[in-house]
Amino acid sequence: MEYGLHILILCLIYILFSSSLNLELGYAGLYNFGHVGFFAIGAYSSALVTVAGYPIWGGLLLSMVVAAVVGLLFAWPVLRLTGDYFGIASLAFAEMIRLLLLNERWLTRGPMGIPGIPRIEILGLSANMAALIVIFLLTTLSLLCFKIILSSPFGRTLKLIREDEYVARAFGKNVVSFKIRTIAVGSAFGGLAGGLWAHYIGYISPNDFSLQLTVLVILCVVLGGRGTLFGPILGSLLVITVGEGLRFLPLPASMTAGVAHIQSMLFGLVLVLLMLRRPQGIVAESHLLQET
Amino acid sequence: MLELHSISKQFGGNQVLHNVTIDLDDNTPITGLIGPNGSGKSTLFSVVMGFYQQDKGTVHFNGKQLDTLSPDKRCHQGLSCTFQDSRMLTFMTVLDNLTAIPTPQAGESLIKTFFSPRQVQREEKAIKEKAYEILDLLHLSRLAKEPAGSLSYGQRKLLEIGRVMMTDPKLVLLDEPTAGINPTLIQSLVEILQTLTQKGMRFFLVEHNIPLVNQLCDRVLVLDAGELIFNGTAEAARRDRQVIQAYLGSDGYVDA
Repeated sequence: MEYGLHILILCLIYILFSSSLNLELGYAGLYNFGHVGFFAIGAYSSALVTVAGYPIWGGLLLSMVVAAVVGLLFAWPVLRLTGDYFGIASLAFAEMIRLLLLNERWLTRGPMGIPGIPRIEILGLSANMAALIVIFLLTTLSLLCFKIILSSPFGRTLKLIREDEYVARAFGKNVVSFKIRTIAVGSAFGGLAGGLWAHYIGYISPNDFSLQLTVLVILCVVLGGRGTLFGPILGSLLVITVGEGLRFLPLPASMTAGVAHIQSMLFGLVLVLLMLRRPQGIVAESHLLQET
Repeated sequence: MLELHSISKQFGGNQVLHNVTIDLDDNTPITGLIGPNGSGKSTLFSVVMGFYQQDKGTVHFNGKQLDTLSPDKRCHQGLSCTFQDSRMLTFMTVLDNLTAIPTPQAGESLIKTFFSPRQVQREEKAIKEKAYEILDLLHLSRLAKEPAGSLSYGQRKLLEIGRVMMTDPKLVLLDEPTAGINPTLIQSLVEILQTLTQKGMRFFLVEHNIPLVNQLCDRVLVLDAGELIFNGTAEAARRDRQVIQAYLGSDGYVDA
């Protein structure tokens, strides 16, 4: 029962995390390989203030604000780069954040991480049940926000920019402004996912926010189907349940420590196969298949 | 209306435009720009729209200097364009290809999206109504919900005109609007352009279809190897020795 709850909570956090990336990658066509950096910023922001005695809701709000502000600061110079260069810069950004967390010991305790992060508590429920309810509500609310944003003229213009930036500029769209706002919003929700994760796990350290997590969240978006609301939900459910399912492989005792490596290899393989065979993911964007 | 003064543009060692000076006035509904392939027509359009920065010269539109303005800001001045290769938003519906165009829209502000939904809905309704009116004019209404990628090449060219109409521009740069489309659609296009000119819209037309240029354009400009070699009526262009040489490479008359 507790393990089932754990899987469900992880799925919800990844749904929020991957949906926030989908806003950038799927709708605006921004290949942000540094999204995990905002997840880390959110996790640390909320952890630091709640450990200092502030309430969790304040910590979660702060995680969104800090991630959004850092997102703006990140986007401003980096969006002058295009395509591959933007991807490389975003990858470097995530690594920079991880190294900052690792080395600024006065603030983050460096590699020792932050233990004892307050757990979510409501109505006297067990820790996991309380976390499930709060995370479910916040994830649902966030998805609702994404739906409103993406079905609005803002979302439509994002698609226009993704489809043809040249046309967007010719018709008066301030492309940089749209991208900056998208990264700020995506980062805010990525930060919220990080904050929720910190309060659920109870302990964070810089190495939790590695390249592997980047690959995992990109896989959730790409496998499910980028540019669709439902894609990252399905992708997250599959990636988390299959990843956890691997723990039950009947491996010899000497190999059980290697499950994490098997997971990484499998996810990498799936990502490559997807790119080759079904780049649009399981849930194709409505019109993708009808293109002539 | 549009004043280009001594525009020069070079790519590497290739001088694409050389001291081109053009003055389009408001009284000429459609001005044609013709010239052999590689004469610099599309480059000139890109300079006017701000996609290329000229090496020398100035661009003024309705008295305002555009040189430092980005393409999106030039659009706000009332300039619009279509593209030689019909840049359709193929994964968006035909309707969305039009509704996405007007700028600014209230719903493009995230704050208004969440806190003034009624204003956004009202504006969205008006934009959709206008889009459907344009689709009716273009005979594309029945395809409104289809992906633009499913349109034929000719229909895409018509939809491009529709996109332009969504912005109510003062001057439209049309880059080979009839290239690759059948005579029936060309006739539809001609009728649409004539309707729009009656509403006050002005066009600067790059076209290789010389009979069409003769039919539509009161004034023709001819570019050859980046230089403006003719500025006058279509009739006079057909008899101009320099123009004939540029097109045919020897003396002779263009049979139009």
